[in-house]
Amino acid sequence: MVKSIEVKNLTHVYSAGTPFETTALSDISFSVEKGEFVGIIGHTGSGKSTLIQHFNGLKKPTSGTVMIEGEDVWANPRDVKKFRFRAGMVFQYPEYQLFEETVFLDIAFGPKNMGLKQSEIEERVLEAVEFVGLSPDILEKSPFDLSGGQKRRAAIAGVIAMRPGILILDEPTAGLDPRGRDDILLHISEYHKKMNATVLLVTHSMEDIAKTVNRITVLSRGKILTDGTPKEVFSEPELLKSAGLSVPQVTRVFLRLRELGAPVDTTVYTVEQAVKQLSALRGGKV
Amino acid sequence: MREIIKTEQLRFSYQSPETVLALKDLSITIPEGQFVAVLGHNGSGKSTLAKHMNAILLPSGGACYIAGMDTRDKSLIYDIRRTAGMVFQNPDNQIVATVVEEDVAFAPENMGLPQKEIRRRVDEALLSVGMQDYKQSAPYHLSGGQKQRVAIAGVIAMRPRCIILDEPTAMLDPIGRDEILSTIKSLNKNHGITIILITHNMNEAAEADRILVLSKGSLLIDGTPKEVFENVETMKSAGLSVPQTVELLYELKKLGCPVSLDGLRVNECADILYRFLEA
Repeated sequence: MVKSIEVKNLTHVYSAGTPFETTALSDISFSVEKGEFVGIIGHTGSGKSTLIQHFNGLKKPTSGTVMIEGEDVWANPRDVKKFRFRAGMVFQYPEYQLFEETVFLDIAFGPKNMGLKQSEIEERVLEAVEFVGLSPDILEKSPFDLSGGQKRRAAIAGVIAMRPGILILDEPTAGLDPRGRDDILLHISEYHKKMNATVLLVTHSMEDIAKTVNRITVLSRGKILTDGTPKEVFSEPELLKSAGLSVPQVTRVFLRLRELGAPVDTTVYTVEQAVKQLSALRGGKV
Repeated sequence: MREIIKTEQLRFSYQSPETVLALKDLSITIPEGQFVAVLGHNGSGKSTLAKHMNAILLPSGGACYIAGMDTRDKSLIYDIRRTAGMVFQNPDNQIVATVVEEDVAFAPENMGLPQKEIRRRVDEALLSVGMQDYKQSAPYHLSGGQKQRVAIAGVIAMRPRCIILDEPTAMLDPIGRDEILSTIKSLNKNHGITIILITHNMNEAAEADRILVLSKGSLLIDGTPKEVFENVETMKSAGLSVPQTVELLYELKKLGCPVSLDGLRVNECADILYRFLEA
């Protein structure tokens, strides 16, 4: 099957040839299968944002290639725009990008640019609103009359309305309260499942990522430090620490239990798994 | 201990007439030197409360006193803002100068202090946030955590007795978060500055002396982190969560395990679980 994303020997240098030259990505090779849900983590300046901006043609590789759904993004620079629809990008604090008179027009902006028919646009707007858990009643409101959480969801709906095969979200839960955070993640997971979409989630929250994704890619200083299932990645707390990251708090509890001499398996990263394991250790008698 | 912040039946509405109240008759007292975290869902009134603490917003009803000064008294506004300094979420919106030390000098210069005194305060402020080696740097070359520490230094240079931070780590990565949290703790412990930390991060709140939980403009819970996080159900119903340590203990307790919920820190939680496994 054709891979959703295939990056080969990607290098990106900012301000090349000036005293400010910095290598943001250095010879990265990485691929994502159709339908994977990947978490991308890394400290500030690790290259996460630079990397994801290559997936919809916002950045051009200094060297190397980026293939989206089997096509080289830069094979024909005039065609780059079509990748904006295939790899939908939700930026940080996307609510600051709402601009239209009504929520409907804002969400319809992407599909309209794709040149779709009015009936098709309407269908997609309604579908997108449902995906993010907003009531259709708000479509006629001004986006500026919505609450913070609603604005965030309306902005995400604007990307979902393009039905991108690849959905990329940069810190979609930043600034939201815990319930808002869980809610957004749930809706993203639903889009992932129902559309069999490839989803890339960039986040600083280890707890969020542990709950949602099937695979984690860790970036550090422009290179891939480690890549694997949450279980594999979180089983290397020292490596993560060296990259300025950490493991979920519940994993740290288990690491400490092991230090105390308890016979626990420390590859635990959600509360649910922890409860299961502890109850099994007590012979199911809890 | 002396009280630094006191609200009496504080009420606030963004509209007039008061159709929706952002704060509903809130009465709280904060003694000087305390490290207080304020939690609450989006729209709970956290930021509205914070903005009353340095007179950015004025009460629609009731009153707010900072070191005994009534925020409604316009003649006291500079004294109030000098006593209670504010740090916001986005470091990029708070930095005005192109050199770190000039940015930190902004407030003391406006206060009309003599050159020598400004120099002393800037050096001292940068030292207290661990940014002394960057005083000649350009802010845009700094990381988010470093920029936020410069913003805090800018407030410190006014020598406030209280600092209010409105989600100062929301835009930072884990390293930046740790930098800010340890800076806050050191200002509180070593300099006796009262800290009001508004946050959505339960693990940050767990570091405070006291947590105020707001819900729909009212005070829902007020207590030490251990006391507050034991109310797992109340916290969840207010749209909040508890640290994973307490959540794990809570889930086990629900299954009938004899564990207490006061294992907030990783080591405390592990100790409780260890005793449980050994029993």
